[in-house]
Amino acid sequence: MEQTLTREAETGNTLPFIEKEVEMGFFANYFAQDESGKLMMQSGCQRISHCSCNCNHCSFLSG
Amino acid sequence: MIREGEEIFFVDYDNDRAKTILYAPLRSYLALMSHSTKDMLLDENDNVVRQEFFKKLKSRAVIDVGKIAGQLHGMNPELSLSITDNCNLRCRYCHASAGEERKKGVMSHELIDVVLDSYFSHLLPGTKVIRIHMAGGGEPTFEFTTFKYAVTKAKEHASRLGITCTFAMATNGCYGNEVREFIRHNFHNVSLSFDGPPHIQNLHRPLANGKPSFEAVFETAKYFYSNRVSFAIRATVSDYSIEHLTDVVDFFVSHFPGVNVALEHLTPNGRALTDNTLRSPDKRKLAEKLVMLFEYVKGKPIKISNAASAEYDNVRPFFCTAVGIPNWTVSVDGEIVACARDNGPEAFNIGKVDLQRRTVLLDQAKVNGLRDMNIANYEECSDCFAKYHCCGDCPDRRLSDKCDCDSIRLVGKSLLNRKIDNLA
Repeated sequence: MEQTLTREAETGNTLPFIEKEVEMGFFANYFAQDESGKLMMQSGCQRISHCSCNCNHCSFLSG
Repeated sequence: MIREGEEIFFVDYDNDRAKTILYAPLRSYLALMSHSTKDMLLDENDNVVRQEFFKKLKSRAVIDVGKIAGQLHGMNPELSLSITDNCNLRCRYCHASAGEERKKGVMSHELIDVVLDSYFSHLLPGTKVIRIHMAGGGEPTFEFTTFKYAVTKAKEHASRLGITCTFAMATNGCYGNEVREFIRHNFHNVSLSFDGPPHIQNLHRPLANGKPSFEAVFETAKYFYSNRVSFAIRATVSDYSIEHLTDVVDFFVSHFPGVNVALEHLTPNGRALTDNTLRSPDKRKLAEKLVMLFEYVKGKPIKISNAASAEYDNVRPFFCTAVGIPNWTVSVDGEIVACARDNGPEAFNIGKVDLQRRTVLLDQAKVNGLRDMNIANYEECSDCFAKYHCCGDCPDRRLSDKCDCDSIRLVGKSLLNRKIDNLA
């Protein structure tokens, strides 16, 4: 799915009343640029499949 | 809270209580500001600070979690095959009570054939890559012949369709080189259950005959590590091991530098309900320990993780794909559940394998019900800064009232503080 905003829009000048800003980096996990430079949402994220029960089946953290 | 149509949260800044952290997860944005700035942002009256801030925030791209949820609904389910209920270990907290009298079942080859036929015919057109898990109540390699049969048959199906089939598994690591080699050559992701140094591993996870399991599991971990098998370690934390967590971390980092370790608390299910040797750790205490460990491992070649509280690399609408897609986990007797957790809620039982008709029957109403288990539908989470990270916690824990929001928020607050301080 196309995003109309470019990556450049993700950052900007800090406002004077903001002491510090941090980019959390979520876009990098969900979006990738296509050949034309548009941001495309990637389909799903395998890292979502963690679980925390005792069965151990979902802690596939090594991918 | 919602201001100017934006979802923002405020989190205490530990290093200076005169300041506060603003967090806008869907804008991937974190900011440090004074309380007076915060007050102006929340002021009902219009002011230039509020105007400028929200103008800037709205200029950033937004993550549409609704779209992400919709995409997950349209994905292929991940298939998990519970090869067996049986196990060569008798872990004191085993959720499945694996290996006990009525827990020694093995999946029939006929069932594997029907499931694979159905699964591959169910895949979306154009599918290029799938991942099949070998996971369930028991140790999948304990029935090695059936385990190999399932892998071989899945590969044959995938090959015929031109699909790349990757394999993942959870395993106790308690076996010899024949099994290790098979895993090395066929599996792409391995979650190795390994609770730490001998005094912990042997207490938590004894063999069926009561003898220690440490040496075999340690050898497996060394084999995986030296042969570059992609594996992560899952260590369950009990009321005993919580007192030794730095030892656990030191142990893993010294023997397996670079490894990812998931530290998850013991949940009282299955055998843990009758074996009183170990208990769940105090959740608040574990949260405090995790916060300490994040600092402790700084600069060390190890990543510490905790599924409910420490996922701050992305935002997510669902806790897991078990409910998000949902997935198919097939039991040894052909029941299909969304999650491999034994004794899961009835809501997770989404279908069954019909051997006579050689097909899979899914209950679409239950599938839809699981898909509703997402953060957008948890009203009590609406004002929590951690909502897109814990996602209301594990759906099973949620349904069994075993969540612990305070601990999740404690860890989350620490991680956001570390982000602001450039420590994370």
